Amino acid sequence: MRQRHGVTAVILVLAVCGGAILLLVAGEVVAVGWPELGAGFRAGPADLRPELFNTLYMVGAALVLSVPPGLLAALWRTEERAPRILEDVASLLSSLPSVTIGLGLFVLLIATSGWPFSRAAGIVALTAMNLPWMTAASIPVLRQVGESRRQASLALGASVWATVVRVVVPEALPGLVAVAAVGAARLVGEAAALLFTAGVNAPARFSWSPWAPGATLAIRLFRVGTESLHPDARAMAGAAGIVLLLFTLVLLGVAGVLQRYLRRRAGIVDGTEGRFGR
Amino acid sequence: MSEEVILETDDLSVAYYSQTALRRVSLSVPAGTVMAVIGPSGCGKSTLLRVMNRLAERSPGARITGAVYLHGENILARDTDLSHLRRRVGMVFQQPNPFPFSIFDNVAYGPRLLGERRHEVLRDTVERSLRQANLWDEVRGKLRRPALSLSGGQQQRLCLARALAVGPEVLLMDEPTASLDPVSTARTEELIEGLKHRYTIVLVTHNLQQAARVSDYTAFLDRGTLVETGPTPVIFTAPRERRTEDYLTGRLEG
Ligand SMILES: Nc1ncnc2c1ncn2[C@@H]1O[C@H](COP(=O)(O)OP(=O)(O)O)[C@@H](O)[C@H]1O
Ligand SMILES: [Mg+2]
Repeated sequence: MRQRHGVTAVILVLAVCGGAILLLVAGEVVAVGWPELGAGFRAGPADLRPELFNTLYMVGAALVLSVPPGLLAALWRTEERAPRILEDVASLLSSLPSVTIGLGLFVLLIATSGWPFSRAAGIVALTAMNLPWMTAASIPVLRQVGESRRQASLALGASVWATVVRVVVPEALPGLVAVAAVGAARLVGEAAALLFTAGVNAPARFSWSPWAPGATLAIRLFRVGTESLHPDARAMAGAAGIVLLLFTLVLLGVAGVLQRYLRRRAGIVDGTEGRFGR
Repeated sequence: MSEEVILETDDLSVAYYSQTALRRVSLSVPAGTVMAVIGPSGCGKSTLLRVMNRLAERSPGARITGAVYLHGENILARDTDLSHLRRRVGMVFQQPNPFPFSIFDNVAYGPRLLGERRHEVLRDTVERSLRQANLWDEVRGKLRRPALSLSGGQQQRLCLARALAVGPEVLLMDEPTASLDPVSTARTEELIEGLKHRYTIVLVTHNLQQAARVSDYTAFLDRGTLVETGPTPVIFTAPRERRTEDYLTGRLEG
Protein backbone atom coordinates (compact mmCIF):
# COMPACT_ATOMS: atom_id res chain seq x y z
CA MET A 1 0.00 0.00 0.00
CA ARG A 2 2.69 2.45 1.06
CA GLN A 3 4.72 1.53 -1.98
CA ARG A 4 1.73 2.20 -4.22
CA HIS A 5 1.45 5.67 -2.64
CA GLY A 6 5.14 6.23 -3.36
CA VAL A 7 4.69 5.31 -7.02
CA THR A 8 1.63 7.53 -7.30
CA ALA A 9 3.57 10.44 -5.80
CA VAL A 10 6.46 9.99 -8.25
CA ILE A 11 4.06 9.84 -11.21
CA LEU A 12 2.28 12.93 -9.94
CA VAL A 13 5.53 14.88 -9.58
CA LEU A 14 6.63 13.83 -13.06
CA ALA A 15 3.25 14.78 -14.51
CA VAL A 16 3.37 18.20 -12.86
CA CYS A 17 6.95 18.74 -14.12
CA GLY A 18 5.97 17.62 -17.60
CA GLY A 19 2.92 19.89 -17.59
CA ALA A 20 5.00 22.82 -16.35
CA ILE A 21 7.64 22.33 -19.05
CA LEU A 22 4.92 22.12 -21.71
CA LEU A 23 3.30 25.30 -20.44
CA LEU A 24 6.68 27.06 -20.37
CA VAL A 25 7.44 26.05 -23.95
CA ALA A 26 3.96 27.01 -25.12
CA GLY A 27 4.20 30.31 -23.25
CA GLU A 28 7.60 31.04 -24.78
CA VAL A 29 6.26 30.30 -28.27
CA VAL A 30 3.27 32.56 -27.72
CA ALA A 31 5.41 35.36 -26.28
CA VAL A 32 7.91 35.21 -29.14
CA GLY A 33 5.39 34.78 -31.94
CA TRP A 34 2.64 37.14 -30.80
CA PRO A 35 4.05 40.33 -32.45
CA GLU A 36 4.26 38.61 -35.85
CA LEU A 37 0.95 36.77 -35.66
CA GLY A 38 -0.95 39.50 -37.50
CA ALA A 39 1.66 39.62 -40.27
CA GLY A 40 1.15 35.89 -40.69
CA PHE A 41 -2.24 36.55 -42.23
CA ARG A 42 -1.18 39.38 -44.58
CA ALA A 43 0.76 39.16 -47.83
CA GLY A 44 4.50 39.49 -47.29
CA PRO A 45 7.50 37.51 -46.12
CA ALA A 46 5.78 36.59 -42.83
CA ASP A 47 2.62 35.24 -44.54
CA LEU A 48 1.66 31.88 -43.02
CA ARG A 49 -1.37 31.18 -45.12
CA PRO A 50 0.34 29.08 -47.81
CA GLU A 51 1.75 26.79 -45.13
CA LEU A 52 -1.56 26.67 -43.30
CA PHE A 53 -3.31 25.68 -46.52
CA ASN A 54 -0.64 23.07 -47.29
CA THR A 55 -1.11 21.59 -43.82
CA LEU A 56 -4.88 21.30 -44.29
CA TYR A 57 -4.53 19.97 -47.83
CA MET A 58 -1.92 17.34 -47.11
CA VAL A 59 -3.17 16.19 -43.70
CA GLY A 60 -6.71 16.03 -45.06
CA ALA A 61 -5.70 13.99 -48.06
CA ALA A 62 -3.49 11.69 -45.97
CA LEU A 63 -6.36 11.06 -43.53
CA VAL A 64 -8.75 10.22 -46.36
CA LEU A 65 -6.18 7.80 -47.75
CA SER A 66 -5.12 6.20 -44.46
CA VAL A 67 -8.07 6.12 -42.05
CA PRO A 68 -10.41 3.77 -43.98
CA PRO A 69 -7.75 1.20 -44.93
CA GLY A 70 -6.18 1.37 -41.45
CA LEU A 71 -9.55 0.72 -39.86
CA LEU A 72 -10.26 -2.11 -42.30
CA ALA A 73 -6.92 -3.71 -41.50
CA ALA A 74 -7.68 -3.45 -37.78
CA LEU A 75 -11.14 -4.97 -38.32
CA TRP A 76 -9.64 -7.73 -40.39
CA ARG A 77 -7.43 -8.60 -37.44
CA THR A 78 -10.06 -8.37 -34.68
CA GLU A 79 -13.17 -9.63 -36.49
CA GLU A 80 -11.78 -12.10 -39.00
CA ARG A 81 -8.80 -13.22 -36.93
CA ALA A 82 -6.21 -12.17 -39.49
CA PRO A 83 -2.72 -13.41 -38.56
CA ARG A 84 -1.02 -11.72 -35.64
CA ILE A 85 1.84 -10.61 -37.87
CA LEU A 86 -0.42 -7.86 -39.25
CA GLU A 87 -0.68 -6.33 -35.79
CA ASP A 88 3.04 -6.72 -35.09
CA VAL A 89 4.08 -5.12 -38.36
CA ALA A 90 1.65 -2.23 -37.83
CA SER A 91 3.00 -1.51 -34.34
CA LEU A 92 6.57 -1.81 -35.56
CA LEU A 93 5.99 0.60 -38.44
CA SER A 94 4.07 3.06 -36.30
CA SER A 95 6.97 3.26 -33.86
CA LEU A 96 9.57 3.71 -36.59
CA PRO A 97 11.20 7.19 -36.49
CA SER A 98 9.36 9.20 -39.12
CA VAL A 99 12.63 10.45 -40.61
CA THR A 100 13.25 6.95 -41.96
CA ILE A 101 9.93 7.07 -43.81
CA GLY A 102 10.91 10.48 -45.19
CA LEU A 103 14.31 9.25 -46.37
CA GLY A 104 12.92 6.05 -47.83
CA LEU A 105 10.29 7.90 -49.82
CA PHE A 106 12.84 10.52 -50.87
CA VAL A 107 14.93 7.78 -52.47
CA LEU A 108 11.93 6.03 -53.99
CA LEU A 109 9.87 8.97 -55.25
CA ILE A 110 12.14 11.92 -55.66
CA ALA A 111 15.63 10.60 -56.34
CA THR A 112 14.50 7.55 -58.37
CA SER A 113 11.12 8.41 -59.91
CA GLY A 114 11.72 12.11 -60.46
CA TRP A 115 8.81 13.49 -58.46
CA PRO A 116 9.24 17.12 -57.38
CA PHE A 117 9.30 18.08 -53.71
CA SER A 118 5.55 18.42 -53.54
CA ARG A 119 2.29 18.05 -51.71
CA ALA A 120 1.82 14.71 -53.46
CA ALA A 121 5.09 13.33 -52.10
CA GLY A 122 4.21 14.75 -48.68
CA ILE A 123 0.80 13.09 -48.78
CA VAL A 124 2.43 9.75 -49.53
CA ALA A 125 4.75 10.24 -46.55
CA LEU A 126 1.93 11.23 -44.19
CA THR A 127 -0.21 8.34 -45.41
CA ALA A 128 2.67 5.94 -44.83
CA MET A 129 2.98 7.30 -41.29
CA ASN A 130 -0.69 7.23 -40.43
CA LEU A 131 -1.69 3.89 -41.92
CA PRO A 132 0.22 1.75 -39.41
CA TRP A 133 -0.76 4.08 -36.57
CA MET A 134 -4.44 3.84 -37.45
CA THR A 135 -4.19 0.05 -37.68
CA ALA A 136 -2.19 -0.50 -34.52
CA ALA A 137 -4.12 1.98 -32.37
CA SER A 138 -7.59 0.88 -33.55
CA ILE A 139 -7.05 -2.78 -32.66
CA PRO A 140 -7.21 -2.33 -28.86
CA VAL A 141 -10.22 -0.01 -29.26
CA LEU A 142 -12.08 -2.66 -31.27
CA ARG A 143 -11.13 -5.30 -28.72
CA GLN A 144 -12.90 -3.24 -26.07
CA VAL A 145 -16.24 -3.91 -27.75
CA GLY A 146 -17.98 -6.56 -25.70
CA GLU A 147 -17.82 -10.05 -27.19
CA SER A 148 -21.31 -10.57 -25.78
CA ARG A 149 -22.78 -7.95 -28.15
CA ARG A 150 -20.96 -9.49 -31.11
CA GLN A 151 -22.43 -12.87 -30.20
CA ALA A 152 -25.90 -11.37 -29.72
CA SER A 153 -25.71 -9.99 -33.24
CA LEU A 154 -24.37 -13.19 -34.81
CA ALA A 155 -27.00 -15.24 -32.95
CA LEU A 156 -29.70 -13.14 -34.64
CA GLY A 157 -28.39 -14.18 -38.03
CA ALA A 158 -26.15 -11.20 -38.75
CA SER A 159 -23.05 -11.82 -40.83
CA VAL A 160 -19.67 -10.78 -39.46
CA TRP A 161 -19.74 -7.79 -41.79
CA ALA A 162 -23.24 -6.70 -40.67
CA THR A 163 -22.11 -7.10 -37.06
CA VAL A 164 -19.12 -4.85 -37.73
CA VAL A 165 -21.24 -2.16 -39.36
CA ARG A 166 -24.16 -2.24 -36.92
CA VAL A 167 -22.60 -3.16 -33.59
CA VAL A 168 -18.80 -3.10 -33.45
CA VAL A 169 -18.03 0.19 -35.19
CA PRO A 170 -20.88 2.18 -33.58
CA GLU A 171 -19.81 1.02 -30.14
CA ALA A 172 -16.13 1.67 -30.86
CA LEU A 173 -16.75 4.99 -32.60
CA PRO A 174 -15.85 7.31 -29.71
CA GLY A 175 -12.53 5.52 -29.30
CA LEU A 176 -11.91 5.42 -33.05
CA VAL A 177 -12.52 9.16 -33.26
CA ALA A 178 -9.86 9.64 -30.59
CA VAL A 179 -7.42 7.43 -32.49
CA ALA A 180 -8.01 9.33 -35.71
CA ALA A 181 -7.68 12.69 -33.94
CA VAL A 182 -4.38 11.79 -32.31
CA GLY A 183 -3.21 10.48 -35.69
CA ALA A 184 -4.21 13.78 -37.32
CA ALA A 185 -2.43 15.75 -34.59
CA ARG A 186 0.72 13.68 -35.18
CA LEU A 187 0.55 14.52 -38.88
CA VAL A 188 -0.07 18.22 -38.26
CA GLY A 189 3.08 18.39 -36.15
CA GLU A 190 5.20 16.20 -38.42
CA ALA A 191 8.36 17.71 -39.92
CA ALA A 192 10.96 14.96 -40.30
CA ALA A 193 9.03 12.87 -42.83
CA LEU A 194 8.15 15.95 -44.88
CA LEU A 195 11.54 17.68 -45.15
CA PHE A 196 12.70 15.31 -47.88
CA THR A 197 9.34 14.78 -49.56
CA ALA A 198 7.09 17.84 -49.38
CA GLY A 199 10.12 20.13 -49.32
CA VAL A 200 10.72 23.39 -47.51
CA ASN A 201 8.92 25.80 -49.86
CA ALA A 202 5.32 26.84 -50.12
CA PRO A 203 3.77 27.90 -53.43
CA ALA A 204 4.16 31.61 -54.14
CA ARG A 205 0.70 31.77 -55.65
CA PHE A 206 -2.42 29.92 -54.54
CA SER A 207 -2.85 26.59 -56.28
CA TRP A 208 -4.72 23.33 -55.86
CA SER A 209 -2.07 21.34 -57.68
CA PRO A 210 -0.70 18.27 -55.88
CA TRP A 211 2.63 18.99 -57.56
CA ALA A 212 2.98 22.40 -55.88
CA PRO A 213 5.65 22.61 -53.16
CA GLY A 214 4.33 21.31 -49.86
CA ALA A 215 5.94 23.02 -46.86
CA THR A 216 3.62 22.87 -43.83
CA LEU A 217 3.43 24.97 -40.67
CA ALA A 218 5.68 22.52 -38.84
CA ILE A 219 8.27 22.70 -41.64
CA ARG A 220 8.11 26.48 -41.61
CA LEU A 221 8.57 26.55 -37.87
CA PHE A 222 11.63 24.36 -38.23
CA ARG A 223 13.07 26.11 -41.26
CA VAL A 224 12.51 29.72 -40.29
CA GLY A 225 13.54 29.01 -36.72
CA THR A 226 16.86 27.44 -37.69
CA GLU A 227 18.05 28.79 -41.05
CA SER A 228 16.35 32.05 -41.90
CA LEU A 229 18.41 35.23 -42.00
CA HIS A 230 15.35 37.48 -41.79
CA PRO A 231 15.66 39.83 -38.79
CA ASP A 232 12.22 38.80 -37.50
CA ALA A 233 12.87 35.10 -38.08
CA ARG A 234 12.39 34.11 -34.46
CA ALA A 235 9.07 35.89 -34.24
CA MET A 236 7.96 34.43 -37.57
CA ALA A 237 8.74 30.95 -36.32
CA GLY A 238 6.87 31.76 -33.14
CA ALA A 239 3.81 32.84 -35.12
CA ALA A 240 3.87 29.55 -37.02
CA GLY A 241 4.16 27.83 -33.65
CA ILE A 242 1.10 29.63 -32.29
CA VAL A 243 -1.00 28.69 -35.30
CA LEU A 244 0.24 25.10 -35.05
CA LEU A 245 -0.62 24.94 -31.36
CA LEU A 246 -4.07 26.41 -31.92
CA PHE A 247 -4.66 24.09 -34.84
CA THR A 248 -3.83 21.05 -32.72
CA LEU A 249 -5.89 22.26 -29.77
CA VAL A 250 -8.93 22.88 -31.97
CA LEU A 251 -8.50 19.47 -33.61
CA LEU A 252 -8.34 17.63 -30.29
CA GLY A 253 -11.10 19.79 -28.83
CA VAL A 254 -13.48 19.02 -31.68
CA ALA A 255 -12.61 15.34 -31.38
CA GLY A 256 -13.34 15.47 -27.65
CA VAL A 257 -16.75 17.06 -28.17
CA LEU A 258 -17.59 14.60 -30.93
CA GLN A 259 -16.54 11.73 -28.68
CA ARG A 260 -18.74 12.87 -25.83
CA TYR A 261 -21.67 13.35 -28.20
CA LEU A 262 -21.27 9.86 -29.69
CA ARG A 263 -21.03 8.31 -26.27
CA ARG A 264 -24.13 10.05 -25.02
CA ARG A 265 -26.02 9.11 -28.18
CA ALA A 266 -25.14 5.46 -27.68
CA GLY A 267 -26.22 5.61 -24.04
CA ILE A 268 -22.71 4.62 -23.03
CA VAL A 269 -20.99 6.29 -20.14
CA ASP A 270 -17.34 5.35 -19.75
CA GLY A 271 -17.74 2.54 -22.19
CA THR A 272 -19.81 0.14 -20.10
CA GLU A 273 -22.91 1.00 -18.11
CA GLY A 274 -26.22 2.37 -19.20
CA ARG A 275 -27.07 5.99 -18.69
CA PHE A 276 -29.54 5.15 -15.97
CA GLY A 277 -27.63 2.18 -14.55
CA ARG A 278 -29.31 -1.11 -13.91
CA MET B 1 -45.72 -38.03 -25.81
CA SER B 2 -44.20 -39.28 -28.99
CA GLU B 3 -43.33 -36.18 -30.93
CA GLU B 4 -41.30 -35.64 -34.00
CA VAL B 5 -37.64 -34.99 -33.25
CA ILE B 6 -36.66 -31.51 -34.37
CA LEU B 7 -33.09 -31.30 -33.12
CA GLU B 8 -30.67 -34.14 -32.63
CA THR B 9 -26.99 -34.48 -31.87
CA ASP B 10 -25.23 -37.59 -33.04
CA ASP B 11 -21.93 -38.67 -31.54
CA LEU B 12 -21.08 -35.01 -30.95
CA SER B 13 -17.67 -34.25 -29.48
CA VAL B 14 -16.17 -30.83 -28.84
CA ALA B 15 -12.70 -29.93 -27.62
CA TYR B 16 -11.04 -26.61 -26.99
CA TYR B 17 -7.42 -27.24 -27.95
CA SER B 18 -6.61 -30.43 -26.06
CA GLN B 19 -9.37 -30.05 -23.47
CA THR B 20 -12.49 -32.10 -24.14
CA ALA B 21 -15.76 -30.27 -23.44
CA LEU B 22 -18.24 -32.78 -24.90
CA ARG B 23 -17.65 -36.48 -25.48
CA ARG B 24 -19.80 -38.37 -27.98
CA VAL B 25 -23.13 -36.82 -27.01
CA SER B 26 -26.21 -38.19 -28.76
CA LEU B 27 -29.35 -36.36 -27.73
CA SER B 28 -32.78 -35.94 -29.32
CA VAL B 29 -35.05 -32.97 -28.68
CA PRO B 30 -38.74 -33.53 -29.55
CA ALA B 31 -40.48 -30.65 -31.28
CA GLY B 32 -42.63 -28.35 -29.16
CA THR B 33 -41.15 -29.37 -25.84
CA VAL B 34 -38.81 -27.93 -23.26
CA MET B 35 -35.60 -29.88 -22.85
CA ALA B 36 -33.68 -28.98 -19.71
CA VAL B 37 -29.94 -29.55 -19.72
CA ILE B 38 -28.54 -29.90 -16.22
CA GLY B 39 -25.18 -30.76 -14.76
CA PRO B 40 -22.34 -29.37 -12.66
CA SER B 41 -20.63 -26.25 -13.97
CA GLY B 42 -18.00 -26.91 -16.59
CA CYS B 43 -19.75 -30.10 -17.73
CA GLY B 44 -20.33 -28.69 -21.23
CA LYS B 45 -23.89 -27.34 -21.09
CA SER B 46 -23.09 -24.02 -22.74
CA THR B 47 -20.89 -25.72 -25.29
CA LEU B 48 -23.76 -28.01 -26.26
CA LEU B 49 -26.05 -25.02 -26.84
CA ARG B 50 -23.39 -23.10 -28.71
CA VAL B 51 -22.87 -25.97 -31.12
CA MET B 52 -26.57 -25.95 -31.91
CA ASN B 53 -26.33 -22.46 -33.44
CA ARG B 54 -22.69 -22.82 -34.41
CA LEU B 55 -21.33 -20.13 -32.16
CA ALA B 56 -18.95 -22.62 -30.52
CA GLU B 57 -16.61 -22.59 -33.49
CA ARG B 58 -15.81 -18.94 -32.76
CA SER B 59 -13.90 -19.96 -29.65
CA PRO B 60 -10.19 -20.25 -30.32
CA GLY B 61 -9.03 -23.86 -30.66
CA ALA B 62 -12.55 -25.33 -30.89
CA ARG B 63 -12.72 -28.68 -32.69
CA ILE B 64 -16.12 -30.19 -33.34
CA THR B 65 -16.85 -33.71 -34.60
CA GLY B 66 -20.06 -35.67 -35.07
CA ALA B 67 -23.31 -34.24 -36.34
CA VAL B 68 -26.18 -32.01 -35.29
CA TYR B 69 -29.41 -32.49 -37.20
CA LEU B 70 -32.13 -29.86 -37.49
CA HIS B 71 -35.14 -31.46 -39.18
CA GLY B 72 -32.80 -34.21 -40.32
CA GLU B 73 -30.29 -31.89 -41.94
CA ASN B 74 -26.74 -31.79 -40.61
CA ILE B 75 -26.10 -28.18 -39.63
CA LEU B 76 -22.41 -28.84 -39.06
CA ALA B 77 -22.03 -29.31 -42.81
CA ARG B 78 -19.55 -26.92 -44.37
CA ASP B 79 -22.09 -25.32 -46.69
CA THR B 80 -24.64 -24.46 -43.98
CA ASP B 81 -25.93 -20.90 -44.32
CA LEU B 82 -25.12 -19.63 -40.83
CA SER B 83 -27.43 -16.62 -41.00
CA HIS B 84 -30.33 -18.82 -42.03
CA LEU B 85 -29.53 -21.38 -39.31
CA ARG B 86 -29.29 -18.76 -36.59
CA ARG B 87 -32.62 -17.27 -37.57
CA ARG B 88 -34.18 -20.70 -37.13
CA VAL B 89 -32.31 -21.40 -33.89
CA GLY B 90 -32.42 -18.35 -31.63
CA MET B 91 -30.47 -17.82 -28.43
CA VAL B 92 -30.84 -16.07 -25.09
CA PHE B 93 -27.60 -15.73 -23.19
CA GLN B 94 -26.76 -16.07 -19.52
CA GLN B 95 -26.02 -12.37 -19.11
CA PRO B 96 -28.57 -10.03 -20.69
CA ASN B 97 -26.76 -8.51 -23.65
CA PRO B 98 -28.92 -5.80 -25.21
CA PHE B 99 -27.29 -3.52 -27.74
CA PRO B 100 -26.66 0.04 -26.60
CA PHE B 101 -29.56 1.16 -28.79
CA SER B 102 -33.18 2.01 -28.02
CA ILE B 103 -35.63 -0.69 -26.95
CA PHE B 104 -37.28 -0.51 -30.37
CA ASP B 105 -34.01 -0.79 -32.28
CA ASN B 106 -32.99 -3.81 -30.22
CA VAL B 107 -36.11 -5.77 -31.15
CA ALA B 108 -36.10 -4.50 -34.75
CA TYR B 109 -32.46 -5.56 -35.21
CA GLY B 110 -33.22 -8.98 -36.69
CA PRO B 111 -36.06 -7.91 -39.02
CA ARG B 112 -33.94 -5.01 -40.28
CA LEU B 113 -31.10 -7.41 -41.05
CA LEU B 114 -33.57 -9.20 -43.27
CA GLY B 115 -34.14 -5.94 -45.12
CA GLU B 116 -37.41 -4.89 -43.51
CA ARG B 117 -37.63 -1.08 -43.68
CA ARG B 118 -41.38 -0.37 -43.49
CA HIS B 119 -42.05 1.28 -40.17
CA GLU B 120 -45.56 -0.16 -39.69
CA VAL B 121 -44.30 -3.69 -40.22
CA LEU B 122 -41.39 -3.17 -37.83
CA ARG B 123 -43.68 -1.63 -35.25
CA ASP B 124 -46.06 -4.58 -35.42
CA THR B 125 -43.23 -7.08 -35.11
CA VAL B 126 -41.74 -5.17 -32.18
CA GLU B 127 -45.07 -5.01 -30.38
CA ARG B 128 -45.88 -8.67 -30.98
CA SER B 129 -42.44 -9.79 -29.83
CA LEU B 130 -42.51 -7.63 -26.73
CA ARG B 131 -45.96 -8.98 -25.88
CA GLN B 132 -44.73 -12.55 -26.30
CA ALA B 133 -41.85 -11.76 -23.98
CA ASN B 134 -44.23 -10.24 -21.40
CA LEU B 135 -42.48 -6.90 -21.58
CA TRP B 136 -44.96 -4.85 -23.58
CA ASP B 137 -46.96 -3.49 -20.68
CA GLU B 138 -43.82 -2.17 -19.02
CA VAL B 139 -42.28 -0.47 -22.04
CA ARG B 140 -45.19 0.70 -24.22
CA GLY B 141 -44.76 4.37 -24.97
CA LYS B 142 -41.09 4.17 -23.97
CA LEU B 143 -39.71 2.33 -26.97
CA ARG B 144 -37.23 5.13 -27.70
CA ARG B 145 -35.56 4.77 -24.29
CA PRO B 146 -32.12 3.19 -24.23
CA ALA B 147 -32.34 -0.54 -23.65
CA LEU B 148 -29.61 -0.23 -21.05
CA SER B 149 -31.93 1.86 -18.88
CA LEU B 150 -34.06 -1.24 -18.19
CA SER B 151 -33.62 -3.44 -15.14
CA GLY B 152 -31.72 -6.74 -15.47
CA GLY B 153 -34.92 -8.80 -15.62
CA GLN B 154 -36.43 -6.47 -18.21
CA GLN B 155 -33.23 -6.57 -20.25
CA GLN B 156 -33.39 -10.35 -20.30
CA ARG B 157 -36.98 -10.30 -21.54
CA LEU B 158 -35.95 -7.71 -24.12
CA CYS B 159 -33.26 -10.12 -25.34
CA LEU B 160 -35.94 -12.80 -25.56
CA ALA B 161 -38.21 -10.47 -27.57
CA ARG B 162 -35.28 -9.66 -29.83
CA ALA B 163 -34.74 -13.36 -30.47
CA LEU B 164 -38.46 -13.99 -31.08
CA ALA B 165 -38.67 -11.14 -33.59
CA VAL B 166 -36.82 -13.17 -36.21
CA GLY B 167 -39.29 -16.05 -35.91
CA PRO B 168 -37.14 -18.93 -34.72
CA GLU B 169 -38.28 -22.56 -34.45
CA VAL B 170 -35.91 -23.42 -31.63
CA LEU B 171 -34.88 -21.25 -28.69
CA LEU B 172 -31.63 -21.94 -26.90
CA MET B 173 -31.59 -20.46 -23.40
CA ASP B 174 -28.33 -20.54 -21.46
CA GLU B 175 -29.11 -20.12 -17.76
CA PRO B 176 -31.44 -17.23 -18.62
CA THR B 177 -32.33 -16.62 -14.99
CA ALA B 178 -28.88 -17.02 -13.46
CA SER B 179 -28.39 -13.28 -13.15
CA LEU B 180 -31.98 -12.45 -12.15
CA ASP B 181 -33.76 -11.94 -8.84
CA PRO B 182 -36.43 -14.46 -7.70
CA VAL B 183 -39.36 -12.39 -8.99
CA SER B 184 -37.85 -11.98 -12.45
CA THR B 185 -36.92 -15.66 -12.38
CA ALA B 186 -40.51 -16.66 -11.69
CA ARG B 187 -41.77 -14.44 -14.51
CA THR B 188 -39.25 -15.89 -16.92
CA GLU B 189 -40.28 -19.42 -16.01
CA GLU B 190 -43.95 -18.60 -16.65
CA LEU B 191 -42.88 -17.16 -19.94
CA ILE B 192 -41.07 -20.34 -20.95
CA GLU B 193 -44.17 -22.39 -20.22
CA GLY B 194 -46.22 -20.07 -22.41
CA LEU B 195 -43.73 -20.26 -25.27
CA LYS B 196 -43.28 -23.98 -25.50
CA HIS B 197 -46.37 -24.59 -27.59
CA ARG B 198 -44.95 -22.51 -30.39
CA TYR B 199 -41.25 -23.12 -29.97
CA THR B 200 -38.93 -25.91 -29.05
CA ILE B 201 -36.82 -24.79 -26.13
CA VAL B 202 -33.48 -26.09 -24.94
CA LEU B 203 -32.96 -24.65 -21.48
CA VAL B 204 -29.64 -24.88 -19.71
CA THR B 205 -30.00 -24.42 -16.00
CA HIS B 206 -28.23 -25.41 -12.86
CA ASN B 207 -31.36 -24.72 -10.90
CA LEU B 208 -32.83 -28.21 -10.50
CA GLN B 209 -36.21 -26.97 -9.31
CA GLN B 210 -36.43 -24.85 -12.39
CA ALA B 211 -35.71 -27.86 -14.59
CA ALA B 212 -38.36 -29.85 -12.73
CA ARG B 213 -40.92 -27.06 -12.98
CA VAL B 214 -40.70 -26.07 -16.61
CA SER B 215 -39.23 -28.91 -18.65
CA ASP B 216 -40.77 -31.94 -20.36
CA TYR B 217 -37.47 -33.72 -20.84
CA THR B 218 -34.20 -33.49 -18.98
CA ALA B 219 -30.68 -34.32 -20.04
CA PHE B 220 -27.98 -34.75 -17.42
CA LEU B 221 -24.42 -34.01 -18.47
CA ASP B 222 -21.36 -34.75 -16.40
CA ARG B 223 -17.79 -33.94 -17.43
CA GLY B 224 -18.75 -33.74 -21.08
CA THR B 225 -20.72 -36.98 -21.31
CA LEU B 226 -24.46 -37.37 -21.53
CA VAL B 227 -25.20 -39.54 -18.52
CA GLU B 228 -28.92 -39.86 -18.88
CA THR B 229 -31.88 -38.34 -20.65
CA GLY B 230 -35.62 -38.92 -20.51
CA PRO B 231 -38.94 -37.43 -19.48
CA THR B 232 -38.38 -35.01 -16.61
CA PRO B 233 -40.61 -36.81 -14.06
CA VAL B 234 -38.73 -40.04 -14.70
CA ILE B 235 -35.29 -38.44 -14.39
CA PHE B 236 -36.23 -36.70 -11.17
CA THR B 237 -38.05 -39.57 -9.48
CA ALA B 238 -36.53 -42.73 -10.90
CA PRO B 239 -33.19 -42.09 -12.57
CA ARG B 240 -31.46 -45.13 -14.02
CA GLU B 241 -27.95 -43.95 -13.40
CA ARG B 242 -26.24 -43.68 -10.08
CA ARG B 243 -24.45 -40.47 -11.09
CA THR B 244 -27.78 -38.80 -11.91
CA GLU B 245 -29.21 -39.77 -8.57
CA ASP B 246 -26.12 -38.51 -6.77
CA TYR B 247 -26.30 -35.20 -8.58
CA LEU B 248 -30.02 -34.75 -7.95
CA THR B 249 -29.56 -35.43 -4.27
CA GLY B 250 -26.63 -33.07 -4.06
CA ARG B 251 -24.01 -35.71 -3.57
CA LEU B 252 -21.89 -34.78 -6.59
CA GLU B 253 -19.35 -32.06 -6.10
CA GLY B 254 -19.75 -29.18 -8.55
N1 LIG C 1 -13.90 -20.74 -25.13
C1 LIG C 1 -13.35 -21.74 -24.42
N2 LIG C 1 -12.03 -22.00 -24.51
C2 LIG C 1 -11.48 -23.00 -23.80
N3 LIG C 1 -12.16 -23.80 -22.99
C3 LIG C 1 -13.47 -23.60 -22.85
C4 LIG C 1 -14.14 -22.56 -23.56
N4 LIG C 1 -15.46 -22.60 -23.24
C5 LIG C 1 -15.60 -23.62 -22.38
N5 LIG C 1 -14.42 -24.22 -22.14
C6 LIG C 1 -14.21 -25.39 -21.27
O1 LIG C 1 -15.06 -26.42 -21.71
C7 LIG C 1 -15.70 -27.04 -20.61
C8 LIG C 1 -17.18 -26.90 -20.73
O2 LIG C 1 -17.54 -25.53 -20.59
P1 LIG C 1 -19.03 -25.02 -20.69
O3 LIG C 1 -19.64 -25.58 -21.91
O4 LIG C 1 -19.00 -23.54 -20.56
O5 LIG C 1 -19.69 -25.68 -19.40
P2 LIG C 1 -20.97 -25.24 -18.55
O6 LIG C 1 -21.79 -24.31 -19.37
O7 LIG C 1 -21.65 -26.54 -18.26
O8 LIG C 1 -20.49 -24.63 -17.30
C9 LIG C 1 -15.14 -26.39 -19.36
O9 LIG C 1 -14.11 -27.21 -18.89
C10 LIG C 1 -14.60 -25.09 -19.85
O10 LIG C 1 -13.49 -24.69 -19.09
MG1 LIG D 1 -22.39 -22.30 -18.98
